[in-house]
Amino acid sequence: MRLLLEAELQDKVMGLDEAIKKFMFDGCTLSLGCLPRSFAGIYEIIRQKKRGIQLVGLGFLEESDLLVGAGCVNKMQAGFFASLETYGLSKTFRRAAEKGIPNKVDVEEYSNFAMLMRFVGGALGVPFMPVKSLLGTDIVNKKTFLGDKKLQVTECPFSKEKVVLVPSIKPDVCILHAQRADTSGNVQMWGINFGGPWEAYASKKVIVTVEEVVSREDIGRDPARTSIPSFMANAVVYAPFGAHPWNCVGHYDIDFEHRTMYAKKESDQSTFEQYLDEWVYGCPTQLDYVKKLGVERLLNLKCKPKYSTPINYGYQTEMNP
Amino acid sequence: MSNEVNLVEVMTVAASKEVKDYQRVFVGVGLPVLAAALAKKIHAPHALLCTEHGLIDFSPVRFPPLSVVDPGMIPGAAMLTTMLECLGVTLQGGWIDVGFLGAAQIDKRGNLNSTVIGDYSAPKVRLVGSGGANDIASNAKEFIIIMRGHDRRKFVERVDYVTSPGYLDGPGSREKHGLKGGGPSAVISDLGIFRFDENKEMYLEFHHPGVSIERVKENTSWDLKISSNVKETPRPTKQEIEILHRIDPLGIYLKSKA
Repeated sequence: MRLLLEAELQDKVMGLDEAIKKFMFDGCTLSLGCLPRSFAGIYEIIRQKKRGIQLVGLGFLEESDLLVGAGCVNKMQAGFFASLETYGLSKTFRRAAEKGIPNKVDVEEYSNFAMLMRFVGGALGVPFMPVKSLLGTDIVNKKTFLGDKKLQVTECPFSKEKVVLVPSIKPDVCILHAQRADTSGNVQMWGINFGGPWEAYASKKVIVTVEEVVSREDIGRDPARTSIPSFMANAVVYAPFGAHPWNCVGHYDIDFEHRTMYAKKESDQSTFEQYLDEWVYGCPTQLDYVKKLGVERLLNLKCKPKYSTPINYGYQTEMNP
Repeated sequence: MSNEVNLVEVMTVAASKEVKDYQRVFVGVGLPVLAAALAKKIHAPHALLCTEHGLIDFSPVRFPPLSVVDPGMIPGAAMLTTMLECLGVTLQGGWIDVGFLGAAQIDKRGNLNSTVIGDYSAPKVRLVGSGGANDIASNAKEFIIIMRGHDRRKFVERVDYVTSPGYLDGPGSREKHGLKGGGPSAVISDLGIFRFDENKEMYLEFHHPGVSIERVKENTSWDLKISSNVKETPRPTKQEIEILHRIDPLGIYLKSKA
């Protein structure tokens, strides 16, 4: 056992620009965590013009689209690439993957579960994980930049059952959004969250943008709500509406009006760039972005309260026997 | 009843009938969640719906869910957890009876392509990829395929890329590759309902109202086998249509043109 270093107890609250400058670098492997997504963080990565990023994750929708269209990404390893859901296929991802606009993006494809297990393996500190997906398909047959390191079909040494081994992955940086964290980086999040905290667990550096910075006492009132313990987090950034245009449960709902507007803009590279000029480069800070959204829209998106029944962590006495 | 039939309604009702009571069903947003919600309201009240994103035993309170991130799917669910419990424990662990899938292309073995149209290294169209589809096709006890816009480009002899496994190369092929799930049990398109024979080849079982068998064959790029007992798909009842439109009041998924 060792004592906690001073650095692990210290205040990790910092500005978004500082956090991205400090932990992100050109050519890094980047995970976008689970849900909510940190659009605030993604916008800042674009503003800082990071290049050569290798994006790793399960399913990607608009968030990867923004990074790809802005020229930040060279490679992607994922289960699902850039759909705009009811708005159809992402044109930005197609431009990059098919025509190299604004630059060529190479993709290595898995399934969502296979990618998740690669993060679980990274988090557990083992070199690979077995899965029962992918067998017999072209996901096994076709490999791109990972070559033979993409995966391997093999037999279980005990039962001889066929399995696919997928290599564990440890991203350089994970950036994610959450409802709240304390200043040391204990993170609490809830809602539909896709892969859970595994991408953060597997990552070397973790940046968390939050709706609220709360006290350590607040965290301790419901410790079962904590998904990431302080020592795994490197930066805590206050970024209200940081998951907009998606939702952050209990704070604000999905902004379909904005997503519809974005889906129209992204259909062409020049209008996509107009979007960046207006909503990313044109808003140097998250506060500028929130101001641009405007009071009326924010009020419309605000969630109505829907509280769960509190649970009881009680015991008999405060005193030690 | 007028002769005008909305084929999207026909296929959604047909898909709902594939859900049996007490089954554990894996659904995605879109027509599958509509079909499963309809099944729960009519003949399968105890069917239990799960998503890959963390919901177990849910019924959306805000219809229709337009996004996989829609928080309107949360309240009332029995469990909200992560993909590890849903795709991992629940699906790969063998608890899921039936899953729903769609794709850009399907072949006569029920293999699905949602990755590329054309050559893999220089694709004509780059699509979204598997998502959880491969996991569902690999591990659900059976799965139902929903295909909108049935034509010769979508129903092909062999898909350009096998993203999700149907019966792969035919009888015994899934077993040879070590797949645990049973494979596709039905294909529902906007022209008809298809099943697989003992040779694991797709055949036409029902043609939708107003759709001739000839039209189904013309829109399928291999020599499609027809059941000797082929029938017309029953028209949706008034009750089914009413419920569907309560679930999708703006017709976002039910619009007749896909």
